[in-house]
Amino acid sequence: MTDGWRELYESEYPRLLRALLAICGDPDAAEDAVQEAFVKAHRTGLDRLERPGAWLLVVGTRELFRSRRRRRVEDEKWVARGPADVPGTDAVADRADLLAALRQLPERQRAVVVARYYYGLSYDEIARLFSIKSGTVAATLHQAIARLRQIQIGGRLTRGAMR
Amino acid sequence: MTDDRNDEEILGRALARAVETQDVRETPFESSRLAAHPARRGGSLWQLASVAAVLVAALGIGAWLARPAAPEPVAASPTPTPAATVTPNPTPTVTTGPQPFTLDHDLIYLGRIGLPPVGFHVPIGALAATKEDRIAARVTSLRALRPDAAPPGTRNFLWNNTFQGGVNVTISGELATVDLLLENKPWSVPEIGAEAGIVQQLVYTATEEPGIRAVLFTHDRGQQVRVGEFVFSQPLTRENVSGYRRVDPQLMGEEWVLACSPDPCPSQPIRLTSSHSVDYVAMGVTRFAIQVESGQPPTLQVAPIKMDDSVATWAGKYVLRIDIAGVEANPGLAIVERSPLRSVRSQVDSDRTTYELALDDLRPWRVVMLKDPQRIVIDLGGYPSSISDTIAVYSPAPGDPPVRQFTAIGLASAFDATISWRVRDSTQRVVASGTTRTSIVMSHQWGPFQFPVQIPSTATPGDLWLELYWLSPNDGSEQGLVRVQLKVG
Repeated sequence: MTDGWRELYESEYPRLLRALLAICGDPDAAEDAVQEAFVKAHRTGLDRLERPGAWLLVVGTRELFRSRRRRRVEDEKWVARGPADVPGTDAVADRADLLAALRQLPERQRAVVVARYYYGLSYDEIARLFSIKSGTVAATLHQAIARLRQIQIGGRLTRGAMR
Repeated sequence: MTDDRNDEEILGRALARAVETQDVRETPFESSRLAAHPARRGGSLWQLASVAAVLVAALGIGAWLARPAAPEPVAASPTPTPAATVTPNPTPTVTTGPQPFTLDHDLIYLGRIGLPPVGFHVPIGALAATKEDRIAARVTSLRALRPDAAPPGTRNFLWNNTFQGGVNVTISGELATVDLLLENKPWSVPEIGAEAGIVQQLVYTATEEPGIRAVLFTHDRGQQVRVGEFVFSQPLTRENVSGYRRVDPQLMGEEWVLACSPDPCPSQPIRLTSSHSVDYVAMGVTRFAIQVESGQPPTLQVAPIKMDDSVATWAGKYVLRIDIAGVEANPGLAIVERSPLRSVRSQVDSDRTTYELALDDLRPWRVVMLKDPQRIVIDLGGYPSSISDTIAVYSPAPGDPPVRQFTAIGLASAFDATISWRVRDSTQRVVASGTTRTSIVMSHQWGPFQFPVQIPSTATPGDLWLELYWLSPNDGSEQGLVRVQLKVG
């Protein structure tokens, strides 16, 4: 294994793991998908990956959703991991609300939201990588943000913004 | 920028932070499936180029998220997680010998409009052997880091700016003198706030070197550096340029003596747990919270300590030390590396716990006692322009777009826990006003406030100013005035 693969792994693994964990909420499933994405990258070869970080996100996301469909029973496990699991301050609760809200979105919206706001990819990049139209990216994000805002505001109002 | 677009960006940033701060257990490369995967044949320059591209890209969010931290067993995580906490020691003692944990000093600082700069990892250590070389390498890196490699919300005002290589550094004690080789043209100050941003980036980056507390910038063999209207006429510390009012470490210590209810204080050790966040409660705000699981701690002391970070390798330039009765459930050292919070150390001695927040600089803090559940919250920083010595506004933030209806949130320490507010429109006419109380109804104790603001349709369109203050019981004068400008476009 070359140093290049180690460098790629060490630079991309942490954020990919967090991205997939945010999408599914299940650490085991996220880890599994991350590891598979790197193995697929290795099979493909670095010289064929134009933007390895973004490529890994797309492949990891697909792997995650594919795995999820195979194991529908996991749905309940994902749903069960919500704000109640997270102790601490209001800020932590806000954060947990947001992640829980993210996981309530449809699969594609989740992936596009994470690609846009966590990976900082442009609309065009997302469209190309996920094989969807640029206009669809904008519409998907618009719907997702509206829904996230609703859920987040709801959480804050319920809890009180600062007790 | 429209309200929707702005809201979207705010929510996007919040989401990115939420994703980033999840607790994860990372698998090291050696244990990964990739490491176990059979090697592919061949390899090419393209592979190397691709890896280089990855590394360059990683100077963006990736490096921000995956900043290398201390050696094992501290995990390479920008935020403390159970995995990132050094194995708890049930009877920790103050270490006097060499510290095994070292902060990441391969940092340059990137600017934020209206806020102090934040550290950003760049690989420097392997390239520079001496203190002078490392300072020169960091300062030179400022010019080289492309804007698109800067994490969201940060700017590199030094990119491609007037100074070239040829940085010459001399050190005398805690002072570094950095002589820049400038192109024969003025510094580029592209926008409002950039001038302060450039000065902050330079000073924070140069003083990142352990043991260096102040820096004097000159150019072309000793000439004064001028950035816009700012002149580097004397050595500067981080506290000189952070934008916060000066905090005197000799005067700012505070002690809380809390009565136990019911009296006397419980004889059993009080159990404590702690947590922290950076830029989550509000941009620029670092929050450290101690949750009191049982009973009420009878005393609490908070004091800033000036540190020699060349000796205390786990610490920053300053430590905010919190001494409290009770036993932390999970003592140890957590490397944080999120500006301004570098690490958090907690030690238990008998039935008391000392928390030490290692900081980039010394900035104002606020202690708030909250109930149900009982917890002690210590907030540091925030937008300097939104903070006075008795009022801190967390929302709205300076520069937010003016909207007809919003909620003001923050902390205040006011007489009778009562603060007044008013809104001025673009003609400076007062268009809305009122009073509110903090939720802790005791004079001169910091407490949270939150109140809705409705801007009448008669207000002149344009920028708005939200002003908060409290009235002196002696002469009715306005105290602790804070003005938050909400800007159009």
